[in-house]
Formats: sequence, C-alpha cells, structure tokens
Amino acid sequence: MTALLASAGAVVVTWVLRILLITLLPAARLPSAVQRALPLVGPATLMALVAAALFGSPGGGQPAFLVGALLTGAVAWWRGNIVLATGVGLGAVALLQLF
Amino acid sequence: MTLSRSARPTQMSWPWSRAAAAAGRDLIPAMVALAPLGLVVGVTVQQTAIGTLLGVASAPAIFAGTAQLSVLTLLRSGAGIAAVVVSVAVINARMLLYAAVLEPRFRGQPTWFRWLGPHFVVDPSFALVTARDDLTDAVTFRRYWLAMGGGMAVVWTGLVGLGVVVGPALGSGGGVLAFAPAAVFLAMVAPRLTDRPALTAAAVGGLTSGALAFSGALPAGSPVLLGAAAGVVAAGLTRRRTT
Repeated sequence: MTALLASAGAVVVTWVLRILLITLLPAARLPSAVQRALPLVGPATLMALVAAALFGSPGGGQPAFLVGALLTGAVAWWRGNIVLATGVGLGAVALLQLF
Repeated sequence: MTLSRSARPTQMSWPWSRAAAAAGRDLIPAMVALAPLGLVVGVTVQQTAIGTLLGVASAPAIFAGTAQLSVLTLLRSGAGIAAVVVSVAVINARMLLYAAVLEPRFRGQPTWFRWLGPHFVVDPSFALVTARDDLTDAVTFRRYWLAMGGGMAVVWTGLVGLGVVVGPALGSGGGVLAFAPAAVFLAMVAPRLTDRPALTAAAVGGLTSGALAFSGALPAGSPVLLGAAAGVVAAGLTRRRTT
C-alpha cells in the first residue's frame, strides 16, 4: 500500500509542477523581467542536464565521455543534425572504451 | 468538444498525418536519450519489491525517469510517502521552468488540453518543441504535441518493461548507454548557441551543474535546477550589460 500511495503522490506532485505555470498561473502573468529571461532557460537547462549526465552519473567524468561530448557538440554545431551528432559521439565512446 | 477561436483548424494547420510523421522523426533521437534511463528504471523495478505491474504502470503515469528512479530507490530503502513526494518535487522542479517557457504554446488551446497536455512536459519534449519554429499554429502544435508525447509515453513504457526483462543481461553495453542522454541533449542544444546570452546561459549552467553533480553533495535533480538558474541569471546580466 505504501508503494501505491507513494507512486500516486509522485504522479500528483509531478503533474502539479507541470500545469502550475501553464494552467493555474500562466507564465504571461509573471513579472516582465522573468518573462524576458525565459528564452534563456532552454540553453541553460539543457547544458545543465548534459553536465550532470557527464559528471554525476556512475563512471561520469571519464575521458571517453568528455571526448565523446566534444565530438557530439562539434558535429551538432557544424551540421545541426541530432542523429548524426549523437551517432558520432556514441561511436567515439564505444571505440575509446574498447582500448 | 469545443475549440476556442484561435485553436480552430485553419488552412495552415498540419493534418494529423503530417504532425505524426514529424513527431515520429523527432522521436528517434529522443528514444536514444530515453533508452538507458528506461532500462535502468526497469532493472530497478525488478530489484524493488513493489511489483512489476505497479512499477511499469507508474512509468507513463509519472513520466519522469529520474523521479521514478528516486521513488523506487527510496521505497527500497524503506522511506515513507512524504519523503518520496518531497524528493520527487525537488527532482522535478525544473518542470516549472519548462512549463513557463512552453506556456505561450498552450495559450488559446482547449481547456482539456491545457489541463492534460502538460503531462508530456519532460526533458526531451521540451528540447524537441523549443527547437522547432514551425509550431506556431495552435492546432498544429496540439497535434504534434499529442503525437510526440503519446509516442514517447509508449516508447518509455516499453523501455521500462524491456529493462525488467532483459536489463540484467545488458552487461558491457551499459558504459556506452550511460553516455547516450548527454550526447542527445548536447546535440539538441549545440546548434542553438548562436549569440552571447545563449552561450553564457549554457556555459554557466553547464559549469555550475557539472561541479555540483561531481561533488555529489546535493540530491538528484538539484544540480540541474541550480545550474539552470545560475545560467539564466548570468546570461541576463550579460544581456543587460550589452544593451
């Protein structure tokens, strides 16, 4: 029963966080300074996710991951192709882990 | 079902087939990002005595991998309901930021969509939608969002189920899989770093989050939230100085 209630609680709290600034208190009503900052949320949050995945996961911070990240970023910036960049990065990490 | 005036189909609106095709194409890299976490969640479900049915059914209901992983880990360690809920709130606090950015897309949509649609707000969906500039039409956005979110929920649930079944047998592939989320999100954000505020936001966000995550001093989710906040503040200051 604890597992069921805890899972239900997780569902509810996550849903509330998702609808809070869309449905309950639309972001349009936020102060203008906050609204001006919103376009910066994407780059900041996505790069924060990348860094946390690189340095916070088990085995994180290892050279193969850093080389893979450099190659992924370079290919993505150069070609703008997500699948190609991801493939190059994963391939590089796989190769480096073989040696 | 009633639609508001701005949400009525227009000649510019995508038909369902086009929205589903675009969502399907976009889902391919997202699936790569989701795969490792989905498999890990599946393995953890198997190792936790909460039952396979509840564990797998929770996947599309919570629809947030790191949060579900923390639920399972805390339950396995004997934590109470309050501890689980607080932990999930901390880990998923970044959803507030995503929601604030996506809110204009939900404006003028039908009421049911504004209450239920945000369920699909998660890292990959945020990255995919904010990378597209062709979803300004309300109906097009709604169809794309439902197709993409629904597809992602199906794939995510399948990955967790797959992790329950085959996770322990993955062996040495785990090392490369652990890199997949970083690779996908990096590939999504790199092409957008075209001006100084965006570069500053990404650099400060990444450095802050990376340092905090590496220290291991904070609960899961906190480094990302604090890193994002630091990046936005730093970029805002840069922009103010420039103007």
